[in-house]
Amino acid sequence: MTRFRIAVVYPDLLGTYGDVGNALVLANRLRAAGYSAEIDLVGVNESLPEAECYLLGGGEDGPQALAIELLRKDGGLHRARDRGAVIFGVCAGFQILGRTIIERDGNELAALGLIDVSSRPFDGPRAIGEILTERNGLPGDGRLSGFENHGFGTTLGSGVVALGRVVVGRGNGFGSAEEGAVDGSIVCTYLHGPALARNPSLADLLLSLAGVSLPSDVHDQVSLLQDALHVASVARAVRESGSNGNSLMARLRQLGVRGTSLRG
Amino acid sequence: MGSPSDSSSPPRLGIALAATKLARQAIRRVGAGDGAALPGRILLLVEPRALRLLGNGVRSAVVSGTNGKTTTTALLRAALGGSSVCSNTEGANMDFGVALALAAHRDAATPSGDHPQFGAFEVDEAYLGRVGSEIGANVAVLLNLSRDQLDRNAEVRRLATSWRSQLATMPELSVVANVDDPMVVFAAEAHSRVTWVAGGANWKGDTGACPRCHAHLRHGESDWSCTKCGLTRPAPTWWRDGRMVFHRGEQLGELTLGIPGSFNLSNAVMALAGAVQLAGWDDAPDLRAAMDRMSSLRAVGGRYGRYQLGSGSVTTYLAKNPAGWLEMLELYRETASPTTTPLVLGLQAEIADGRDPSWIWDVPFESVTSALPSPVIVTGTRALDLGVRLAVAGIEVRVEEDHHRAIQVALGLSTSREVISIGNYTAFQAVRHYLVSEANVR
Repeated sequence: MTRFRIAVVYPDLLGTYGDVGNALVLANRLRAAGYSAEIDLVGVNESLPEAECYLLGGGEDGPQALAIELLRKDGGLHRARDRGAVIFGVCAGFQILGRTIIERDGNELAALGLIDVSSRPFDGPRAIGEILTERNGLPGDGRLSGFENHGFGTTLGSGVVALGRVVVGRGNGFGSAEEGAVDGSIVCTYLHGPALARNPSLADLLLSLAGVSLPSDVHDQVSLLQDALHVASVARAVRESGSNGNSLMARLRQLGVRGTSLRG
Repeated sequence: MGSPSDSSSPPRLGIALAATKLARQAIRRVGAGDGAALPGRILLLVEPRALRLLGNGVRSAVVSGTNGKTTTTALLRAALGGSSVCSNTEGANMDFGVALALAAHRDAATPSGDHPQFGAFEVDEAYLGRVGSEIGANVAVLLNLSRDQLDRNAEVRRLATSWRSQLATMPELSVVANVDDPMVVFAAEAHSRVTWVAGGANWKGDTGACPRCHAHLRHGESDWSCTKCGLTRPAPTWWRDGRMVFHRGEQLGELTLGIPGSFNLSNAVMALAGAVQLAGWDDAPDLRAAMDRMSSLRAVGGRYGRYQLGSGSVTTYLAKNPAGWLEMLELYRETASPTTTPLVLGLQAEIADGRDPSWIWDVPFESVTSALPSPVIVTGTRALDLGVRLAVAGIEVRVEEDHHRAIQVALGLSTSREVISIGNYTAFQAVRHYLVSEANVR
């Protein structure tokens, strides 16, 4: 059996939004295809191991800066990029991989520079809610659905293409209608959900970048449920954007009517 | 109320209380929910010092933490004497909820000379400092801190840091803190009056890194310590071994609770330690009497409720975040057999739940796979998200988005005529409402 190693980078710092699920989904898909998949949760005190795929998830502001410092010192992610290993960054993980992050106080933080993108805070409120994007050339129906939750947006530099075009939600922001970024074997997105659980086609994109060819006839419980989840998620995003549900809820929240007495 | 401040309380409070009463009655008349939020907000709007004024003269404990607040507060209330203790039993745990509970208690109270009046309040993690200092709390019981509803309330570490600085402003407060949660220890360690209790913590997902210095935290069998700064599990003065409760090395006696789960035995020890700090009990007989009073508690706001449905019965557990799910799955393992007792798991993502259910992937289902039945029935508006999560963990699932169907299917599969149902907030409520309308509570 071919060995495939998935390194989850610093889940202690970059694991606040359930993105560790991306590793579980990838490993499951690989095992169904006859691979021996291993997941390595890399702690902050460990050096980055050699792997076929590196996953970076969402995190909070402080830990994000610490992660950049540690990863620059470690150098493992830069070596991985040079070997053509797949790197998948979500939300804070996306921003970390870029060139710069403008912090809230206006200070410019140098990020890892693995992909030519720059992030800075939104002027307005955080982007929170269901997001739906579309892209030609993605396997399946070309749609990606997820939940976005970020106060920073991102602009793409030359040679970097968006992962998708926003249909519902905010995405990279700043009026671009773009979501995420792709450059070679580096793929980035703002989608939580986790992204690979709700979008099996995105998992397959990552695996094809890693040179894995998947059998087309896998119809096990996981893939059937994932297909159903994908369809339901896309439908939900369309439904929620079609009605005025979101803006009404936002208005109610402003008024302080938000089930506050329900928390136990 | 025997408080000397009563006679001198400003007229504004009287107006505020009257307005609150009117709002409560109006809300009851139109049948709009339990009606804590609006009257409570009116009370604080008209008299912003209401918490301070109403809390004066009441010896009170505040109970906070991500999980177990409601149950521990109910246990603490029982330990202190039950219905005579002022408490926000409806679960409204922000400033206005506590203010409203104090106002309602003042309405009902008959003046009684020198009898000490106790309060036991659950308080939202973000309101601990404000509520604690305003009501002049005597005791704070700190249970645990972990990730919860991420689109609303992201930062666990920030909460722990804010607890720490708030506790520093209340040097007279007696803190009862759980040594098994590094976040809680970090919040409490600098305080001068801490009673350390082994309150348990299955969930380690937020403390892989030290809350004080971010270095690697080593978790042992029953202790933990930071590899760099030396933050470590303090020695507890209260702990339990199975049901046996120990205080300063002495056996106090066995705890028997009317609610299930070993984590609730730990919650009861936390509550007992809090009660002792509040009441100033010194004798073992007082403590044993308090333990007896706790044993009479059966269900808390529908949690652990058991409902008869035809010839079968359904028990409902609430789990709102990864740590809570882990505890409830452990509870299923402790109390049920996967071959005879079907399990219904419900997931939704309404506003009260948090709109992003991604956290379900943080629940370590992989570690309990063998203890779960096959199939597990998944339900709720996000049943498919939950179904994929379980399937990836290698668990066979059956998707029944409709709660009624899910319960009926589970009863059909049950050979013990028992079903256990675990859900996050609105999923739990939906199942409970269905069961209440169809069944008789046992």
